[in-house]
Amino acid sequence: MRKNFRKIRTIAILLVAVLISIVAFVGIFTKQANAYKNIIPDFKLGKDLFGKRELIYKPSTESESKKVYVDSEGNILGYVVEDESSTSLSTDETTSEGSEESSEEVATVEEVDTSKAKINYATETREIKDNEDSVLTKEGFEQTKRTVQKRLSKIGISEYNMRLNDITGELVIETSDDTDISNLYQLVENPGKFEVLDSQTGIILMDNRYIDKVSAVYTTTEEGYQAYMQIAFNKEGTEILKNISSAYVQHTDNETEETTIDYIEIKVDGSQLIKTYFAETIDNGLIQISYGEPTTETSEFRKNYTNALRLTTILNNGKLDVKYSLQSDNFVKAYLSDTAQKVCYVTFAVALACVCVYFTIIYKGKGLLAGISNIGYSGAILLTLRYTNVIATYSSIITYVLMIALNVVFLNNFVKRVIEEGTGEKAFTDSIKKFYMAIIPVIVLAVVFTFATDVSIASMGMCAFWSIFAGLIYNFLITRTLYIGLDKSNDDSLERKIEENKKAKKKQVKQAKKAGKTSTNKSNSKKGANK
Amino acid sequence: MKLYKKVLCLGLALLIIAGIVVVLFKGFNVDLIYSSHTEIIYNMITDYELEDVTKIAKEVFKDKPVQVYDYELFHDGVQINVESITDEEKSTLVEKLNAVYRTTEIETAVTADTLTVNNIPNVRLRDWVTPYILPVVVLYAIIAVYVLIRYRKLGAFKSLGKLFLNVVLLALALLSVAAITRLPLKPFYITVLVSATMLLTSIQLLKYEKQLSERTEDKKKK
Repeated sequence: MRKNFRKIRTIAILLVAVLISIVAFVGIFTKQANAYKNIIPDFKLGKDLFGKRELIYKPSTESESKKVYVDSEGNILGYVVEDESSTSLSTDETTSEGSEESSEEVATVEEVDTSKAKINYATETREIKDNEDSVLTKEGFEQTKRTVQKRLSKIGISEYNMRLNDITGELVIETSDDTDISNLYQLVENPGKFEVLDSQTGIILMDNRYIDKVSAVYTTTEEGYQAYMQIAFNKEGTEILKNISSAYVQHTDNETEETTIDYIEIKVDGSQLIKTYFAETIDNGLIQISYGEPTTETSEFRKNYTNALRLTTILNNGKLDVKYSLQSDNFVKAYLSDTAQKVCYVTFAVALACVCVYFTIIYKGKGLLAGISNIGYSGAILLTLRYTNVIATYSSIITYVLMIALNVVFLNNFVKRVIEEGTGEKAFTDSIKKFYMAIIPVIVLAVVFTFATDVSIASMGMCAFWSIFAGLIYNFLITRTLYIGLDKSNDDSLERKIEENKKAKKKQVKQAKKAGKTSTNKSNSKKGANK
Repeated sequence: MKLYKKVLCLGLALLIIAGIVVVLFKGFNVDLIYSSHTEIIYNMITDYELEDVTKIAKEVFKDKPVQVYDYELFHDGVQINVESITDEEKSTLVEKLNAVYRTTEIETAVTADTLTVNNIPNVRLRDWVTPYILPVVVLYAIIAVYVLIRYRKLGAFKSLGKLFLNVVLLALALLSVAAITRLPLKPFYITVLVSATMLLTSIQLLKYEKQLSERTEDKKKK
């Protein structure tokens, strides 16, 4: 009876192990809208296995003719505002009556108490190139590459290869197709040139040198969530900001009661972020620029916040020496030929079969159970990886094979103990303890690598982690149960005990009967004697 | 020291020295895709099989390593990657591809001048290695602390030193093999290296565990 129960249990567990491997390797197909679809989630493939976006950038050769203010050394101090209604400062050039009249309406240079205010401004028309010849050097290209790498790392884009031709400056970035490409474009193409300008004159009041830190923040208001970019200036910048915030205000003429407003503009890479004036003096060196309108819609807020975050990443990591323009953006599919794929699958299947055969030859029936258990284990890991969305990369495939190899070592040790010690449960406990002590380095690797930013390394860690976790549960439920009570000597001794007990009872009964007969005979003989 | 251990040490030393010499003079052999190469884009307007295009490319470039990939998601063309291309090879390639994939007058032929050719720079080996530095340092720092505490009875620093020496020697040996055999390196080979060192570390810790339990049993007997 017990033997039959054990047989049925063993067969059932083996069927479960085989089922797990079939589901993992083949899948479960159901009919959905006239087509069969696998309900088991597919693997999430990394760049190496699915394909990559290849972005080729070249240093920009564009230039623009602009009228600029220059100092005595030829440094650009601002851009002459071309608008008719705007004004420009009186300069070395002859000015018309119109501009003289309009210049009276605007705060003159002397009224703006900035460190730059006291110098003379000359204007000239200059050809401003996107990249001056002085930056198109190996050092310039290398610095730009490093800054772009910092930006990508800060924003969380980690799956990429970056190639630089340090002679031509050509930059090639290969990334996965699910990377936010529009984000990546801006991080590479925007040099991050920050300017605070006098809106009336075009004079540059502050630039990147005065920034200490930029952060993306948000607040909750009655209307909803509002995203901001908060700029903290350094000591020198704080002083300049204080002067600017007291100068660029709303003025009211006491006599005419006319109000004029002196605006500043904040621009990044020539694009205006905000045009404003100050209601009060800022002496803490902080300004906040809002992104979008306050909103209660999560998607809208997320878009605004992401834009703010991207710009903070650009400004926090320094200006790019070289400005790049995108030459081409293409998707290149990863290619493993049909033959190569078949070779991989067949090799894997043959390896699992060889392990089975090896165990069967060495350990006979118990070895065969271990071989089938190992096949189930490999399927269990695959199912776990699919459901936990681990990104499949070559690194995770290598780790998967490594974990199966470690499981084979464990099974080898376990089955040996079962045969030597004769008890399934004790052998399992001893084997699993020894195994997990031995793979402590792998456990530490799994934990440490899971938190790495690089996708390949993280996928390696996650694959190891889930393999160890799934292995513990699988071996406890399936492998251990296969071997419990499998040892014949245990069952035999039990049956033998039962038989012995039965025999002992029979003997006792016989003896009791005999004793009873003897005493009856004795008493009869006594009675006879007495008579 | 036993004879086989002496032979093993000598062999290992020779292997590592040979590897260092090869790396110094020739460097590592990196897979075509990760080294500096030329990329040719040929747009397709008819159906094609990648194996057929690969055959044509191999005929044109003869001994040079060639890798061909699908270009864009919807089978729009092919990207042919080769070490370098001469004008003659460009013309021959275009001629052969046009002959197969642009057969009618309606289909605009691609010429050697209109063919898109990009020079792709190499990925630096240090860019492969850099992401691994911090995780591996943290990993071995934790293992070092574990070894120092757990195996202090066996000589903490001696055990740790032996472990690190074995790991470093294994890594150097594997890299030397790769350099000498001119194995085309790819980024995931670093994973192989890390996995191999992890296996060795596990084996070494098992040995220490055995020594520790033997020591404990000897003490109990005494």
